[in-house]
Amino acid sequence: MNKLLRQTLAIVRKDLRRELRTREITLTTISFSVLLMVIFTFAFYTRDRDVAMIFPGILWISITFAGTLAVSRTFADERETGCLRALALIPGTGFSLYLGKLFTNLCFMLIFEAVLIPLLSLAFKAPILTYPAPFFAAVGAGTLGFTALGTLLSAMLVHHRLREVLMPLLLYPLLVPLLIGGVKAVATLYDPGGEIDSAWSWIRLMLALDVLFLVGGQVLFRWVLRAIE
Amino acid sequence: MKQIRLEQVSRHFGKHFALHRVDLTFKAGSITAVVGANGAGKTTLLNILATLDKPSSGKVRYDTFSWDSFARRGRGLVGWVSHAPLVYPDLTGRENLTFYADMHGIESDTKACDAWLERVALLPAADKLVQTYSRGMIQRLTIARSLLNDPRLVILDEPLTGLDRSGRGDITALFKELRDRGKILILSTHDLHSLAGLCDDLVVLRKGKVAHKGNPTSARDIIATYEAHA
Repeated sequence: MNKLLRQTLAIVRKDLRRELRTREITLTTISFSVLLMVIFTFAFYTRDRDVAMIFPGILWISITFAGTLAVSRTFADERETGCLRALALIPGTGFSLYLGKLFTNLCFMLIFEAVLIPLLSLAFKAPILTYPAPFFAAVGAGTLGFTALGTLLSAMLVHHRLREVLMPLLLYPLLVPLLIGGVKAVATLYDPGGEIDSAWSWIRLMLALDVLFLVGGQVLFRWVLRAIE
Repeated sequence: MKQIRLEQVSRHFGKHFALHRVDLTFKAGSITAVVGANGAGKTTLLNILATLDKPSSGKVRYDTFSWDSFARRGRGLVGWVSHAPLVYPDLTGRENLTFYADMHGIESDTKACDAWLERVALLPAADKLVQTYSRGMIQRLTIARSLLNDPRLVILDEPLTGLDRSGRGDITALFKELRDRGKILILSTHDLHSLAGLCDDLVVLRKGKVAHKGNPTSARDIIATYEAHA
């Protein structure tokens, strides 16, 4: 088996196995996203016709806030055990460690989104299945970009004393274009005057940003790993 | 790898010199013990040799490779035991070794891991979580982890910590076996008694400088050398 693939799978398997035993990340992100959903429901829910205006914003705020909890713990295990140095001594980890952590984070994100999105949809009566393809494409593209950037920043901040504070301060400004794309794409789907083509245009922009974040993250991670090992 | 040569190697952190103009040679098929008081520069020296820390000045040659080229291409030849165990407490001993074996790309990793677990007498506890291990068991697992990739250069920072008498005997025998297979072993320790009959060369560091190089054999010689120079 290709060494990169084998290393990546080993990291994903290790992290998921550990999560299966501790349930640290899945429990916290799911609890937090349900809590956000309850708060938003009481704060913003008024009438059915406001769905187009408030649902996209609430959806992306929930994904971003709960997702931050998941990605900021990306290298917590390696920091606490010191294993980052042992991994740094293994050739090839400059590529595989980033990819492995990215896939693990994607799994965590998809798990809490699988709970959050149906709940939000029920709470706000948002017909997410009216246009399932563009809706899930937008959520998928947003999640991928968020995870790509969050994984890189999590590595950069792994040894920083103020990492929990700095993570959102650095992550959110960089995410603004992606979030605007996500909000616009989803809002277009529920706007009575909106056109599906317009939603796909925003999704294409999000995918372009995903490519940028993925390539940038992979290239920069090798330097980050040297600095943090 | 036949030898590692350090020429005038220094490492400073701001104005503080952790190592100052160190000249040393480590040869294949030998065990070198690096001893010294706290803050003498032992860990800094080991980190430089493991390519985890770059010297501020001077040259480190791994055969014909410079420090930079060895750090880029030769890291797979290094086995490293540090102060921290560098294993995951939420995984079992076998899962830890399998993970590192996969990372190293070792073929038939299950067999290799079981062989190492047996070699360090951990096979009966292989499927227990590492967080339930004693300090000595974790140290055995750490040593197995560091040797999984069959390294040419083995760097051991306090490798006998936490081991009981029989554990020390097993691990010491393992180190001698590795030496006889032509590996370069470099270890640091505060336990001078454990070095008797184990190390071929002794380096005493004092305030970042080499205070003494020699090859004492008995525990009495080693302790006398340490007390005279450290």
